[in-house]
Amino acid sequence: MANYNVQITNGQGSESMKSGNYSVAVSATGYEATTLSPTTYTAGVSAGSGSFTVSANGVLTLIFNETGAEGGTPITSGSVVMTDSTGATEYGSAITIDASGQAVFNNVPYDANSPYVLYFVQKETDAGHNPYSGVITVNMASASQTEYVLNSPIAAQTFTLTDANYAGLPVASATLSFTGE
Amino acid sequence: MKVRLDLTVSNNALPALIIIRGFSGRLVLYKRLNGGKNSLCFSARERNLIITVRPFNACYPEKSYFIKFGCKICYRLRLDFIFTPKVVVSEQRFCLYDEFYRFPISSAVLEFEN
Repeated sequence: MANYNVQITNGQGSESMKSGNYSVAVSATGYEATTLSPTTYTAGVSAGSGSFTVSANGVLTLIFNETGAEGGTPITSGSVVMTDSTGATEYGSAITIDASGQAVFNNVPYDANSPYVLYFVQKETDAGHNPYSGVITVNMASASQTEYVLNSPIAAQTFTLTDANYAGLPVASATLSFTGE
Repeated sequence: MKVRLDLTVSNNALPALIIIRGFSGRLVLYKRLNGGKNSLCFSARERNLIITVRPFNACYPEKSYFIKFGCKICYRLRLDFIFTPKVVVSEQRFCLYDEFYRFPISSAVLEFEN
């Protein structure tokens, strides 16, 4: 009989194991141990590998509004996705922001003693707001948590167009086209 | 020389091959064994034989007997080949992801019980 405890760091770990059939259990902060899948592993005589998944049952509600705090005017549409700390790698599918500015992430990990840190990037907002430009960091410490994210209203911009040779002479009619970079 | 060989092979090492050669290397018998109890008859010119049982499962290393016969015409021989698995340790690599979002779990312990 041989038992092994394999430390997993950033999703990966390894161990030299005797060949045989093993039952597998997990201990992971913020996760439900009973959700591990699969729960068996067969180590052969040669090098091998196994991939496991585990899930949590926390619920995170992100509310996007004009103040970034409770009570602000919410945006009416958009999307947001979970990412790594840099925002470069996306995890899972983007979640739609509804008409009340809410995006709900189910099955997220949490821990009261050592809050689980999650990262998000807002991909879209509605026509009247600027999306949050950075990475949104959330410390999940409870099973149900609500966080607010600022989406500032787009600001009115005033332009003048005058004749280059006759100072102050307004151009009677023209269209200025602005292309985003 | 005629030989009748009663051969017992432990069941955990089956199926296996039996290979009988003379000391010169000349092949006398080559046969697959599927059962634990076997009775084999063969003729050999050489009086010195190497009788080897090689399990298909690599966990069990092959075993051999070196037999030196006398000058009789017929022999009856009984051999037992008892195999115990050799302990093989190999590197196993594991990944652990969040089931719903597929991100790597930052820290966890996977517990394996045999």
